[in-house]
Amino acid sequence: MVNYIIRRLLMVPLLLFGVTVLIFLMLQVLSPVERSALYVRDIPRNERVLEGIIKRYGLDQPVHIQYWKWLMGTIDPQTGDRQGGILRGEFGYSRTASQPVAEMLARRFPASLELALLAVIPVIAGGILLGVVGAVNHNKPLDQFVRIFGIVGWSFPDFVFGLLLLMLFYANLGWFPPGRISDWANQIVQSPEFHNYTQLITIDSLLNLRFDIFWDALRHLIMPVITLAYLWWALTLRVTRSSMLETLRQDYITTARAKGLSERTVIRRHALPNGLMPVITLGGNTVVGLLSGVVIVETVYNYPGIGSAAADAAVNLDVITVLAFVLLNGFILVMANLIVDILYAYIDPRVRLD
Amino acid sequence: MSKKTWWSVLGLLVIASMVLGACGAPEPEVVVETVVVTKEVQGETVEVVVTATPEPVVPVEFKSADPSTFVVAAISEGIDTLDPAWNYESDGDDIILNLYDQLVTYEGPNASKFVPALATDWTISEDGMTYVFNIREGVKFHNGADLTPEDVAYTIQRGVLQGGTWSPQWLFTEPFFGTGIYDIAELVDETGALDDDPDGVKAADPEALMAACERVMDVVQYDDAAGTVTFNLSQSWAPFLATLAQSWGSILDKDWAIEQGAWDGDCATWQNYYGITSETTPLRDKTNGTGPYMLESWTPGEEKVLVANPDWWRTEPTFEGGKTAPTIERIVVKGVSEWGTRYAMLQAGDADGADVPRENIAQVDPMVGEWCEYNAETLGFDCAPTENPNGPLRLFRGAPATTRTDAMFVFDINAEGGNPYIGSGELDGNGIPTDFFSDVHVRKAFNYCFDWDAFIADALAGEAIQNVGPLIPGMVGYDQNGPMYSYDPAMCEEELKLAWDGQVWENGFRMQVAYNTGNVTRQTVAQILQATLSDIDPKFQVEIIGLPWPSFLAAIRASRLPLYISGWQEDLHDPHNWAQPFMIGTYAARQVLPDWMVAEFQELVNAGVAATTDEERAEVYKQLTQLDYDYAIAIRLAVATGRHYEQRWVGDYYYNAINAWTGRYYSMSKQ
Amino acid sequence: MTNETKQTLVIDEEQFLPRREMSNLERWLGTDTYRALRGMVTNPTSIVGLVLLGLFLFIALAAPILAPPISSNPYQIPRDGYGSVPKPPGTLWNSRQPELPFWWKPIMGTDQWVHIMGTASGQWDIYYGVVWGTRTALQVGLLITFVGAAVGITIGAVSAYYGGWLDMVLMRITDIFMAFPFMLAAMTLSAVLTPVLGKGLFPPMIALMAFGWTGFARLLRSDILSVREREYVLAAQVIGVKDARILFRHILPNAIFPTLVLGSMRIGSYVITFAGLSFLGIGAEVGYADWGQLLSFARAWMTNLGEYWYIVIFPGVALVLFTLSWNLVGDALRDVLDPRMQGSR
Repeated sequence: MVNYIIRRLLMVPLLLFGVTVLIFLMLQVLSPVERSALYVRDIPRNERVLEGIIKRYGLDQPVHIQYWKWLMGTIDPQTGDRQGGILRGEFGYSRTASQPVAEMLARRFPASLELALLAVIPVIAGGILLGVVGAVNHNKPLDQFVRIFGIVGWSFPDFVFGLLLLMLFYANLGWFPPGRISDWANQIVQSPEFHNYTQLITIDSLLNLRFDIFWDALRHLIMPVITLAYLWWALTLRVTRSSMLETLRQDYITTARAKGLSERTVIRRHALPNGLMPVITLGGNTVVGLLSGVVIVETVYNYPGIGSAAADAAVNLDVITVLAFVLLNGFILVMANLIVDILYAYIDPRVRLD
Repeated sequence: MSKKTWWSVLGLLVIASMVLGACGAPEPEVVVETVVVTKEVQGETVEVVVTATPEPVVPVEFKSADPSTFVVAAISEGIDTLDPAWNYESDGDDIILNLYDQLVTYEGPNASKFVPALATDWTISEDGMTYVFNIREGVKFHNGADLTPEDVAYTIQRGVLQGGTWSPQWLFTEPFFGTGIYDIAELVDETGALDDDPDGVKAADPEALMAACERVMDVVQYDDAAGTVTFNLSQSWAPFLATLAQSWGSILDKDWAIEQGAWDGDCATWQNYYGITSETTPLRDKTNGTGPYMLESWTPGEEKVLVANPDWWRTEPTFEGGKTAPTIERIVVKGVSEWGTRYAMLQAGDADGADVPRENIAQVDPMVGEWCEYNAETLGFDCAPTENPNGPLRLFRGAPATTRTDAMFVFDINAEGGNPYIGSGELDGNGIPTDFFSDVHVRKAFNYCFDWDAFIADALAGEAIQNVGPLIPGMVGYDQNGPMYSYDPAMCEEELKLAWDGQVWENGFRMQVAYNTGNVTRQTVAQILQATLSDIDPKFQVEIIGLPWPSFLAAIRASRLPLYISGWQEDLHDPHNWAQPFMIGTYAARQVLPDWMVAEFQELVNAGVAATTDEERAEVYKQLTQLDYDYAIAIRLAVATGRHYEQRWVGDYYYNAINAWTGRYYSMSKQ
Repeated sequence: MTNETKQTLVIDEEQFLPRREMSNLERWLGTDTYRALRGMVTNPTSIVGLVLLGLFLFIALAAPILAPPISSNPYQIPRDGYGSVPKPPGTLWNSRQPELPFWWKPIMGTDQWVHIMGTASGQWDIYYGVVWGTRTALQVGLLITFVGAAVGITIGAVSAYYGGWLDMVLMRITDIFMAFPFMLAAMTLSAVLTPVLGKGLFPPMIALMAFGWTGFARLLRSDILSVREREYVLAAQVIGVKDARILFRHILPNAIFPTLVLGSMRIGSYVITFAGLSFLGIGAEVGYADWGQLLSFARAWMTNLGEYWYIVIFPGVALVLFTLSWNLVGDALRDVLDPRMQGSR
């Protein structure tokens, strides 16, 4: 088991190396002038600007040198100091977010995490419930309804769904505002009296016993959570449903039924524990999927997480920022998969990690 | 149909109706006839209506939930830096101008008149080359330090020595060292090879480095005992006060700046600070000004929060009726990119002001209860209630903007390695030669073929003025009755027949006109040209191509586009800031104008900037406008008149063209 | 949305040896295919899906008749002026009116062409965009899925069948591609490709292909691995049948069904992702007949949707129904192809 974990962890740097090389190679499609477009908002004010930018940021250097610089940083010719370099923990500066990437991630990642964590609960809980209901009532009206509910959810573009919710619940009803937190609450959160233990406002506000702030944060989270959840329910319920259906056909279920156990007991005691096995995998995937799926949802709701920053960066070819987002995402992905595998081995004695 | 079939169909129907219901249900109670409202309230008719029928409207009190905080929902929060020497974005100006003071400032809404700020008064020498400023005493920075003439001199010196061709410092280097010098590094190596090359500058000859720095010291001198700062310019420079009044003229505290890690004030070390960029400057997120507001926080991409400075020094208002102390406690400028969100914030009263794109004005107009039309005479607004007098918003309208979009002809198109934009590259009806636009008849034909009325009506919602020549309305030397083209298909046809000895008329042509995607105005310009030219004869083919911003930029820079559509936002409210880029500078260079033409323009542009009286300048710019018309080097389009919406509980707004619609917050009030 | 559920297909021979009469059609198609086809046309959800799909196919094929093009490029939506305020359905067409198709007068009873579904900001005719957008959606969805699936199937099959270091290398490459957040990867690659290829459908399509194959490769690989250990494959190997023949004759046909299901479900989600890219400003040029592009116009008018509902409803419903039809078909296909469902139906 320990061997397995070490082997898996060794894969992480390899994977991340591959990902970053891929991004650098992608960028080589563009000429230096095209790459310098990130640094100017409109036609430059004087005719020497672009040359200056290309020179200053070394945009015309060969790809391997640019990659090396990004990896190891540059050396100041006068002082001999090394500056930057991702291996030295310096992520660089994000042009699109107008701040160092590390600051940007530190600020925005908790926001996205909060959103993803809150969305996982309804996704998994609702998805499992609906899936089980569907499977138990197989081919009955309820099952058909659940199936179609899921398929429609899966077919609904998130941006259309999101904008419709925004329009209805904010513009018309005024119930749920966009953004992450109201201005008055933000002042309190930023103030020294408020302790930010986790950076997740919902949790911190509870720990600080500020229920008004908790409620405010929740109001901002409801719409993005519903949007994410509705779209991801489909997948969860489908997996749960088919896995439960398969379990319900197993011999031991038939045996249990033959013993005269009530259908309720059969499902609770025998079918559920086994039928929900794939949901563990799904849970891990969902967290990862939600984190990368927030790109559009955050943009629509003006939610200040990493997704909206990443979208902005990708459209503007801000490669430094994109790299950071991809590295983070890749890392979470690998770790989530690892945890899922270990959980499996722990729950199901037939699975061996070696 | 079996039972389960029936159920699944029902399920589908239910969901479909939910979907449709969700879309159809929320109908806001807005009136559809917004356009009618707009037209009826425009112009003088307003006054007639108002005086004739004094409506017995119950006056509605407009009170906000929180009068101490002013919230702006801006389209973006897109600033790189708060270092005044580096910031070159209007979003940054919006903040910096409220945190810092400059030597001089504008007389309230008047963008061409200057009043004392950190300088109590000043003298300009006869030849216009020496400026002496008396520095105000008793002014304190936000950190409590006193303002001295040394701080002023250090600020300007540091900015210039820090360099950077894409910083605003070129606006100082030209008057200081001569036209065409865009960066301090050009004093070390005049070819410009060292521009933006910090390693190269560090390695340069120490004597040359020292000499460059000493030249800066000569230009900007101070005398603490006399309390003066003196600028010795290389030539007479009419827009110099305008240059000092902008955000890059913001005065820093020297000791504080050095503490933060900025240049230490020693000529021997300046090269170590050269080439700092907007993101690496130590003053990127640190501020310490003398201004009416202090920075509380800046969260890039989200918001900026300012709090009032209770000890602000100002005692005299900048204009009659102006304020001398901020009345609103906190200013919050939020970046909200999604229009729907900004709109909802306006509706809910969560935003006191919001950016409203022109294409969305019809959505906001029904909420307007008071309509304020710009009055160019008084530089103020004449307000009147609308048909919906209880509407929560106030609209300011009609003030000319300080940006313009033009269509520029490229005289010598770069066709190296093939150029898809010019088709075959021959006058065979399937392309254009690289020097197509070097024939004045072609350029005139394109001018006569442009439908300004359609452009103003459709792209600018009818709110614009056709522009005459390279300057913009309201400036010295601009004359609305000057020479300009108008849409005239007959003249267009005639010019096309003359062009290229009739070959154009005989064979026709095909070319591509590009715009950067997402820019609707530029796209519409291209579409109008396409339509009007093909109306003359379908063999005149203009194809429209939307390029992503990077390729658009690269194509313009390489002069590969036969005709490009681009805009300019002024740095200074001065004719030179328009004449220079359009006639000899950044645009003219990409247009590859012939040398003789540039020489002719250059002479006038230089005379215009050096002239010391307004009459002299007006005469020079009149000649320039005439040349611009005769040579038809571009299609000069139109200057839009802007709009600004605010909640009616906001008061004391004034419009100064140079700040566009963002304000000096200290002069505003909120109920 | 990278992770599809994995379903292994177990061929339970005994179940397929029914002692009953076979119809000629069944004999000609083979038992499995016949059963699948029969399932598809009797399953209510798949019927709805197929009908919708047929409708979209009809619209795509009949596009030139339904909405006659006026310029040489039929995918260019005609526009009626340049104004920004959308006009409601039924507004008369003012300038550069398209030709009237033959069906217009008998049905509409007038010879004035109107904006059937209104116009979007910029006066683009929505009806035209929705009709021709159907072609775009079909092309985009099918092409991306086809290329993505072809690449994925090849890699998955090679990887699973040969195993060893080749498998190792291919799967690590797959891992690298999967470590990218899909949406972001597609955005980055299309943003990079757009300056090179020009604005249009190709950059986002290529981007989606480049990152879309991994799911297919993974799924097929695991299915092949389970099929490969079957007795009949082992038997074929023992008697010396060639590799390629075993792969194509014995393994692929038995392992491919889940991949097909995945493919049909993916068509819909690719069209959504593609529309999402257009919505964010990447993808088709302004005025190109593409639903996502039309929907992006609606972005600025969402809060006034009560008034301008038509700019989002028509392209939005088209997009949702299109995706829905593929997903319904895919879902039904999954059920009928899964023999374990047989008993319970």
